[in-house]
Amino acid sequence: MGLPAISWLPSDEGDRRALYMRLVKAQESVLLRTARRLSGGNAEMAADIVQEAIVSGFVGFMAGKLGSPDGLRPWLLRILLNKAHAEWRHARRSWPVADVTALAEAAQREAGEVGSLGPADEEGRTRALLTAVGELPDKLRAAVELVDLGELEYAEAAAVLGVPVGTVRSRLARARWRLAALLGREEEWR
Amino acid sequence: MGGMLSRLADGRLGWIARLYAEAHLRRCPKCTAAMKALLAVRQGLRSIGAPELGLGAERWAQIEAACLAEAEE
Repeated sequence: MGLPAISWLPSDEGDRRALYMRLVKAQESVLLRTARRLSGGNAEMAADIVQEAIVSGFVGFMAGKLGSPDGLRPWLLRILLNKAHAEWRHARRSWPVADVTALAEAAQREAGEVGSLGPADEEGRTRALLTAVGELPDKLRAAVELVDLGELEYAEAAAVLGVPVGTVRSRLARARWRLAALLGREEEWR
Repeated sequence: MGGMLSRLADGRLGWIARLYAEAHLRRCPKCTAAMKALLAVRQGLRSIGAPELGLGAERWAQIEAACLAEAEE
């Protein structure tokens, strides 16, 4: 395979592949954390999504599409979100629609308690939360996925989305208020 | 105020803005209720998923093999 000449990349194919593996392994925890939360704690699905993202990223990396090593993390996360959304759309179809309603009812019963998002069982809570996230408009959803699920800094999320930091902050705030509203905890912020 | 509370939840307000927001929360029940809801959402999202383990050697071997296969195509 004839590799394009990129100053910071080794021209030897084996060296370039080894470099990619080394760089990617350093991103293991953030990729896995984001994927695991996006998949509702399903470890197997999360590992599959991470694998798909790494393999997709590899193709672009070998072709010299990455401008610098620093760009790898936002780049892989963008790929990961796309993969996760595809999986997620599929998985959500099998989730009961009543989850959000049940959650809202439970939350109203427990109104006033900080940190309580009922229903009491963790799986139901997770599904309801992710269902609510899935109902957000794409731009708001991406902000909450990167900052609250991936635990990225605002600036890192901005790099992934290709928008200014202030935009991430405002989308994140709007996303969180919408979620609170969807979950019946608070009227939507205006 | 909505954007400010969201940043407060992340510990990302400068100290003057933080003092202002905290003082406001002490006397505004509506914002206090909103802040509780926001913290519940934030905490709920961040507590999803099992404690993190790595991908494991076996999965990494699969990934490397899949990359090699792509390179050979």
